[in-house]
Amino acid sequence: MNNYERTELIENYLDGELRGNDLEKFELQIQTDKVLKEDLFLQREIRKVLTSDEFDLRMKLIEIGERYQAEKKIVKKRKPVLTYTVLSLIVIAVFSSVFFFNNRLTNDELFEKHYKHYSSETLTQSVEISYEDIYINALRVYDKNQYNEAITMFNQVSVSSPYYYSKEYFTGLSYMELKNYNEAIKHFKIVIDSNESLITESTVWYLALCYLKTNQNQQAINQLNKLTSNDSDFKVQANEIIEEIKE
Amino acid sequence: MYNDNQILIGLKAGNYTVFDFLYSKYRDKVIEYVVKNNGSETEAEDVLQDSIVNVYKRLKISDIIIDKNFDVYFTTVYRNNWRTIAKIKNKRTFTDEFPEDLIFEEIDFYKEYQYAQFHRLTAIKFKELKSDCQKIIEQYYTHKKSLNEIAYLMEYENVQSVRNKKHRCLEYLRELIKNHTNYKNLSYE
Repeated sequence: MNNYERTELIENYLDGELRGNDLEKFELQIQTDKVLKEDLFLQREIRKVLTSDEFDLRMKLIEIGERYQAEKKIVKKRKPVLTYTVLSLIVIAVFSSVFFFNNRLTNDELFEKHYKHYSSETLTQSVEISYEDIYINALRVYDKNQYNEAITMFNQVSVSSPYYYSKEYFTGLSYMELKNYNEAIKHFKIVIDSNESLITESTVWYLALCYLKTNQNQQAINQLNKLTSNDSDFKVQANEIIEEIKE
Repeated sequence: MYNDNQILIGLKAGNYTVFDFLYSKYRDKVIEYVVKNNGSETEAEDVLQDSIVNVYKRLKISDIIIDKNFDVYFTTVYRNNWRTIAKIKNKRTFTDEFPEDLIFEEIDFYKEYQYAQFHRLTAIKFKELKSDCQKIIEQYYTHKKSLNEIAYLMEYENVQSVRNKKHRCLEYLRELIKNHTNYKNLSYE
């Protein structure tokens, strides 16, 4: 008996479809056939799992866990870059205040000063490719600076995907690279409104820069104010921009 | 943000957003605790998931009366879970003081642990199946649809085609589980 025939026979037994001689024969067979007995046990246990309330919950938790692991990798790998960026900005800010005191920057200048391309390279190197091929491939295209193509691929990631909010984030970044800030704003807002993502703080930052670039100063300040708490990675930059705009 | 009552209601209803909220709130705490007490991050993820499942199962049986607040309650649950697993794995080196009287229920720990492991393994392997296999298995076992209904829903030519496909998918799932190291280590029988 091959694997398939064994599966079929056990299924027929568990579904109560074996009758008469067939049933008697099967019950005798499980006494002597060790593999059949083991598979019967396993198939019965699998059924129990599949029919339990717990199964749906487990599936949800595994999905959430995978998403957190993927997103955590983005945040984790970004931190040293952020630290260097923030330190550099402090030096630049001190330098600027000495030599260019009272010289107010325009929104475009502020944007150019603060906007740094966000690389997804670390993510594409670390996430297992087998899980969400579309999303991973889209990130690769994004890393090659092919933003229009990346947007088309990100659009193929479904709402039910665990990477849905991450792809919205990268779609927003792609639009920023294409200088289509109004379109970028729409995608960043989806991420922020969801409140489901670990990358919310970064999203707020880029959304603020988009508002800045499109001269929506009050909206920019509203977002930047969210980043002025002590534990924010963008605290220094956010305060600096707020000061500049308010002057 | 959810208050204690909203968390309990959301958990009982199987609300995805509440699960996500608990995951984000406790993930780092559980990892810190488990790693500090001789475990790994992967084990910590399992402990967190099992703890959420435990609370969910308790809520399904009856309402939970919480003495202080949900945070204290859930902290007790995940710490007890890790203590259980650590005992099973003979990882007894605990760095914190944890009074025995905080263990609120005597259960057959080992059986419970194996049960959770098997559930997790089945769910993980199920996710590896192709989407048509997942759908056919879900429709038949989880949603209890008849083969006729599945043939209609999934546009199969006839019932026999559905039956064959179901058997193929189940065979594949069974072999995935059977050949996994965790199953071999479970001595589940």
